[in-house]
Amino acid sequence: MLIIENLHVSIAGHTVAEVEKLELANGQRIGFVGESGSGKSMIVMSILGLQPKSAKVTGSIKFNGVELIGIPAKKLADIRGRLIGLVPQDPTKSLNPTMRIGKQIAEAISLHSNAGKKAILRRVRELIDNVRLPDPDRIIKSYPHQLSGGQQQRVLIAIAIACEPKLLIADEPTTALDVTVQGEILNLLLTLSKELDMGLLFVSHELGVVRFVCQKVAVIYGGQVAEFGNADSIIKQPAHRYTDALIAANISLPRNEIEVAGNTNQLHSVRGSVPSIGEFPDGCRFRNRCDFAIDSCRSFVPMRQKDKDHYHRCCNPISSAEKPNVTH
Amino acid sequence: MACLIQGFVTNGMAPIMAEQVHNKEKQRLWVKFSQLPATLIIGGILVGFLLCIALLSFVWTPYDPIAMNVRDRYLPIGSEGYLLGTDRFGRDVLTQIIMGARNSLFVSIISTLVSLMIGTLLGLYVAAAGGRIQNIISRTIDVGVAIPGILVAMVLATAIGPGNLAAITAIIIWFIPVAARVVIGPAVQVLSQDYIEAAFGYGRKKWFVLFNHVLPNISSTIIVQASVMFAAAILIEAALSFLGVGAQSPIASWGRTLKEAQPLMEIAPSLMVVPGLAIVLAVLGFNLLGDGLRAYLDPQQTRKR
Amino acid sequence: MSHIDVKNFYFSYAPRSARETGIWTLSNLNFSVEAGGFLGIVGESGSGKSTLIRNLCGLLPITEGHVHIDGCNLASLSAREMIDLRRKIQLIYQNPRRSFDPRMRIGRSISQPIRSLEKRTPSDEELANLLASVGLQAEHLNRFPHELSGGQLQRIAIARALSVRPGILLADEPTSALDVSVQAQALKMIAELREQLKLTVVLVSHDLAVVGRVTDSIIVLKDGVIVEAGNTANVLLNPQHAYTQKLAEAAAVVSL
Repeated sequence: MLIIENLHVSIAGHTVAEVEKLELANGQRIGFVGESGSGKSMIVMSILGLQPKSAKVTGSIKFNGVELIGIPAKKLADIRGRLIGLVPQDPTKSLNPTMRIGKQIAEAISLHSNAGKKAILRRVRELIDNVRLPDPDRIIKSYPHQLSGGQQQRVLIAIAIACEPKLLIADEPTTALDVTVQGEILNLLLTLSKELDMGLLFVSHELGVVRFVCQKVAVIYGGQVAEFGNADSIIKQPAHRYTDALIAANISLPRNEIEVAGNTNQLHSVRGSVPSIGEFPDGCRFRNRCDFAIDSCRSFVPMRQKDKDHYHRCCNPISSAEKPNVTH
Repeated sequence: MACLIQGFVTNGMAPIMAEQVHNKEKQRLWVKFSQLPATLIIGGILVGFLLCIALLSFVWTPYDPIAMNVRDRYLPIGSEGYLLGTDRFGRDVLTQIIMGARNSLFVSIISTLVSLMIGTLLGLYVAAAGGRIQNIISRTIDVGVAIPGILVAMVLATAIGPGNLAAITAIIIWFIPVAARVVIGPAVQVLSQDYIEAAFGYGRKKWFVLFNHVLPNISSTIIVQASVMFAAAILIEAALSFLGVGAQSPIASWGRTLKEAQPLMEIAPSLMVVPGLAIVLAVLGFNLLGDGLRAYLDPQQTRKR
Repeated sequence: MSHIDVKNFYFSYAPRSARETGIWTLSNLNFSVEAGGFLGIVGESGSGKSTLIRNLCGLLPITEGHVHIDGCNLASLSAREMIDLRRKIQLIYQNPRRSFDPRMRIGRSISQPIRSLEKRTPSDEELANLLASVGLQAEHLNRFPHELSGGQLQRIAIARALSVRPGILLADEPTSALDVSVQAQALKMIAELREQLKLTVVLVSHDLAVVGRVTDSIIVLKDGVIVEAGNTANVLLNPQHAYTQKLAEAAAVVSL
């Protein structure tokens, strides 16, 4: 359904994102995991043509055979919303504070259909129900600030799926939400993806969240895909040192007495900090922070295949003999 | 042999290398300069020019400003010896303009600086006050901004007599609420930041925080506002002089020069055009400067220096 | 080392109307932190956790009930005693980038608590040592906040807070605004410095995992009320209250 090839995004001469090849099949759920400054949002925005005006995008992004890069604006506007939906990041910033909810959802519908008022209203109620929001009459009449964060996020999802798109892009949809609400929203996205046979591209900085929702994950660092494959297997047996470091640095919920309190040995960090645009090293983007860097890391590292559907670009990957999740 | 070469490098090459470094420096400065907003450059030139001729007037003017030369009245622009002509008393127009510049700047600088200082203090106090006090004083300031300053000036002139003092005092009274209001918004925003709370958390007192943390962080707003106020002050001073409540004879003022030239419009139109143009250029210069400073200072806040 | 006692504590930003309506931001809090203890306060948005921690260090006025630091009642402090209190308790903030004056160099920023509370100017060597204690080089003293990463700034915030040798360190979501790869560093630093300097620490977080890894005891806050409290291991591994269980489940679902 979605094929990204040789995508290259640069701003002011600095490479912000480059993806050699990435494919997403119909109905599949893939996660983009990366920290701030990893370029994951830039890749996603380029798919929708929403990248900043100063960004130069080259390469190919084909959606159902249609080339999206360089496509005329009118055609892109037609695809946006109707075929590809976007759930943006912060609900407090993404909803029009002066417009009632009902009107905002209706707007999304009427942009891509000629349906009459009654039909649109019916569809609005249907969508509010789809996103499991109770009391549709109250929701339709409400303004965004009258709803909780979780409710606002559901509204954003409703707007995004209004035209039953084939692909839903969710950009950090739960980052601004409480953890209890997060679970509900994640479950909702999972359910909707299955019910509507809708592909999902989930962007997050948390591996755990992505593993819950997605089948496949692409770990992104320095604008490049460091590792790509099945979410479960990558987390269990990562190949790229960065993925491994990310997993080790994750502060996980203690599961037994030993893991609770006072055991700071289990708290790992990655040396250094994420460089800003233009300050990444040549060759492997991670090599300055990696304890296992070797000479070949200095030059460009192409993607290599570890297993079926498991790719990475590490010169010195973790071998199956090594224990995973071992960092300094 | 090696020492010879080294000597060659340190002696012969040095001036060439120094020049290369110098050229690179010049190149960098030029790049930085050409990135400045056009409004800043043009405004800067106009204001700079104004300042120069105002300062110049303390040491030299083409002619004695009060010298009257009845034989050379109404000379047009470009006459020999009188670059901008003469007025109906035979006084050199260029000299009048230069002296007028000095007066304009004198009035506008004093009134702007004083009102800015008082207004900023008031604004900081209100921003930090919160609650009812903030509410009451804020609204009083809003009322103050709404009162037409020209009326205040007329009343003052009637009370203490016309002249620069009345003009300065009127402008100050008019500008204090304006300056205060401009400061309150950004100050409140800065006060909501964590580092302000942190400062209180390690024992700092209110006014220390206001002067050392809030003021530096709203300085760009104040600077821009100052330029705009300078422009307005020049215009107000000219207007007051035009109405007769500003600087009195023999102190030169663009506004009065303009007023005196009004009945002579048919005989010598240049006598109106020149001071009018002077006022326009001065106000334009400060406005452009303010606009350019705003453009220059704001994006820099978010960009890495 | 100092101990904190909170008894029958109620707080509202509008205390007069709260007394009439009975609706408080924080209600009926009773807990204590022993000297050298490490308390975690867990709650979601609207739970009042940030308000509580500001009450503990005197940044918000006490409205009802008791907050005692080393037996000293926070509600009845003179201005002089308030300064002493500030020397005893310091707070580090969620977003390190916003807790530094963007116009001040780091060296000047971290010298502020000493200048203000100890009325002296620390030497360059002292400042360099402060940075070294959190693993940073002296060269950062001359930098501006925007030149440093979030992780570095948070460590500097810790150094700044500890510069006046407080007995109590309060941390308001110290890891939430940091990149995932460096969150553990800030947390580890707080835990290690606590051991080293024998501090009492109160850490607020919405993340059960963060609190679970380093604290001795936990209180769970919901809508301004403590729903569960106790030893960290007990509360985490054997939550009694439905809300705590909900929190634990939600955290487990996305845990690695």
